[in-house]
Amino acid sequence: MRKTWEIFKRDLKSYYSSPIAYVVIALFIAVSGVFFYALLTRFLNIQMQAMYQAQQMGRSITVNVNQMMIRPLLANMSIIALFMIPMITMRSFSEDKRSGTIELLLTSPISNTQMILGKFGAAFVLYASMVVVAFIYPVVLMFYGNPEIAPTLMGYLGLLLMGAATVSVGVLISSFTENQIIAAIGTFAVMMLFWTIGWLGTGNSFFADLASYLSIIEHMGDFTKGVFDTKHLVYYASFLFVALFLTYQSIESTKWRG
Amino acid sequence: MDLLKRFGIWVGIALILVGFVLSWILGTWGAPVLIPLILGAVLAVTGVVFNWSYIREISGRQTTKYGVSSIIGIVIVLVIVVIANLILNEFNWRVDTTAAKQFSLADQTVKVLQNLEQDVEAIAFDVESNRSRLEDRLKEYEEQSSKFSWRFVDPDKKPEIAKQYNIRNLGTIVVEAGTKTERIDSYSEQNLTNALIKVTRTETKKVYFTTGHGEHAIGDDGESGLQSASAAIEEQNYVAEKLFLANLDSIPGDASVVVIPGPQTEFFDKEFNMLAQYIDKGGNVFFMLDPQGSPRMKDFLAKYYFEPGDNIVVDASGIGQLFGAGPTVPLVNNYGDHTITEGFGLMSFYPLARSMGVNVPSNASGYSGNVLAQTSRNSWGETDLDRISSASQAEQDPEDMAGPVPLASAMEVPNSSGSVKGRLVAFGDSDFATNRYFNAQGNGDLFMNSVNWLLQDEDLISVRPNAPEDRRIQMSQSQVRTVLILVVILLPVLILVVGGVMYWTRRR
Repeated sequence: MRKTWEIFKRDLKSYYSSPIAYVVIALFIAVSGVFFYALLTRFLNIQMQAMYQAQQMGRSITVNVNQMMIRPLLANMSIIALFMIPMITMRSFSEDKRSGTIELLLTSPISNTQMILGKFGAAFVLYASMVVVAFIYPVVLMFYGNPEIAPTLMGYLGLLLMGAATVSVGVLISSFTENQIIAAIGTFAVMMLFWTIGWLGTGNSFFADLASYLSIIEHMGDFTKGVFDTKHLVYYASFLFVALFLTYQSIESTKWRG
Repeated sequence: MDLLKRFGIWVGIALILVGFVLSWILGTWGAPVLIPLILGAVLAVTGVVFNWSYIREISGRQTTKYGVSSIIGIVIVLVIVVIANLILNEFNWRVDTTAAKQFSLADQTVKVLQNLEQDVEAIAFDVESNRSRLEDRLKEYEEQSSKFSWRFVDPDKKPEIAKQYNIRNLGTIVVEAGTKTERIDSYSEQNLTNALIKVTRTETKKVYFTTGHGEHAIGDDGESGLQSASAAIEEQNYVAEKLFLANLDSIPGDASVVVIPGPQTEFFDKEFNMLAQYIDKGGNVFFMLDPQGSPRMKDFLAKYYFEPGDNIVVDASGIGQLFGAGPTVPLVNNYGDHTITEGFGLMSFYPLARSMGVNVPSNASGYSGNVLAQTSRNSWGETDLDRISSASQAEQDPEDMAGPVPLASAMEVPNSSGSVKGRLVAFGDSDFATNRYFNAQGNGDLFMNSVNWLLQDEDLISVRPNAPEDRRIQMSQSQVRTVLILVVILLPVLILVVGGVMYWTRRR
């Protein structure tokens, strides 16, 4: 545990002392902010129309900021996160491989599992800090209205879980190569596959069900609605476990492949 | 030969993969799939044979042993993960955190879904932009039962499917189970769940049509037959059958509704007794009584507080002429406050009709009567029947019933213990439901609404919809602009500045 903590601290420090982390977070916040602004003006428009209709025709229309604004915002943010995470995780193993420090780590008394958990933890905490900063949006909305808290928190929990799964893939891909660009592009390509595979999931065949089950975005849907289901927890945990297990095998193989 | 040795295995494996992908895309195992599969297998096997000595050599190496054990480990872990997912998903726990529980289904719906014994598919026909609204609901249904599935069809993109299901309006959902289908035109949970109940129940309700008194007949596809009406009934998964009362001692026990479609001769005492007994046991009867004659049937109806008039309704408003109908074809677009006519916006018309009112005295406890349809003010019930037939010069006299004239009424009748309620509907006309007029305007719909109400099926369950709470944001234009500057510009810049400071201090 202590050794895991050491690796975690070391990696996290290197993240926060490199400019990339700040560029990635700033980029994420800026792009999400544009979506937030667009959805906010759209929602205010809908609200105005509803008010107008209530006055003119005496028909009251329900307007709900959670479903009409926060929900699409979360859905958009989960896609933006898919683009950003590879830039976080590309350093993970690649940097050590490139600089040669991986040799030191492999020959040190730190086990592979400890090393992987420490590295994954550091990358995930960086991602989580990005999500925490992005919590500014519901906070702003709370100033000017009363969005429901529980479904909003559910959505951010989904964002964290989906991110954890994506980070684990990033760690896995970075263990294959010493080139950070390849690590980032590879992670991005794999995540694109897990995103778009859901589009095959229409119809009622076994393959369609399988495709939509595998889709990483499909499992976000319930979280953005404000519905918690252990199914999605199981999916993301399995995803993360498999990716980290493969990372373990990949690191192990560097020992005997020579 | 050299090529085969070098690339045989890889080309073979690629061909096998192509075969599987093709089988998925084409959905068959025909020649286009089998040819690459077989060819691939042959190539792969010959490739292995040619390279046998090399394979034997590398399989002896240490790294190969590591590699193989690593692959075996990965496969085992994957299998365990798949099994764990399958098991844990069976015992999932789902909770709706929205305050209005807007994504939760009613207990009744959940019970219906969990008791499904056959596969049910819901096919929703709507434009793509309405998809998400529908998806939220249908996914919750799917969540509750593995027997329930659904798909979304945009009729503009797939007109052939829309045509196959004879879709006329967007927003229609067809619920299908085996050979039974049920269609609904709203996305409400109540309608959807009721449709599920209707398509999956095994007993089929029977609607009997009396014969033997010169009634319109269900097997008759001529102008005065009831072929269209019985077809509409069967389309809703009910059975329409003839009922020859004179041969029987009582109304059959499986009768959900008895329709008396315009008798020309009187019923016998025995037949009236059978009807009275049936109604007393909570039976449902649909009377259609044309003007002139049938004094005994008139008296029978009066016992249940209907008021059939000895008249012919004359509609002087002239609207009927738009449809080529004379003043003796009253038009109705004024409906009563009743489940049958709830939200009914179509016109209906009744060639040669008598008035059919309802009047429940205050001492008749348990009875509740409603007028279903009435004519415009500009009409009356002409009692001088000769004047209509001779000269078509009818005029309203003081003794004639003044408009609006009721043409159809409904009544709920308590049985002797007061618990079970039979339902009666009476129309002062029978022609409106015949083949000639059934599909004109709202006639057929009103007939079917009446039958559905009589079947006591219109509300198998009632579900209060879980609408989302009203939650708004109060922001002025300038506040929106401030927020824009804050979250899109200032916040990212702040992060970059912090990063820059951290970076430079470290470099120093």
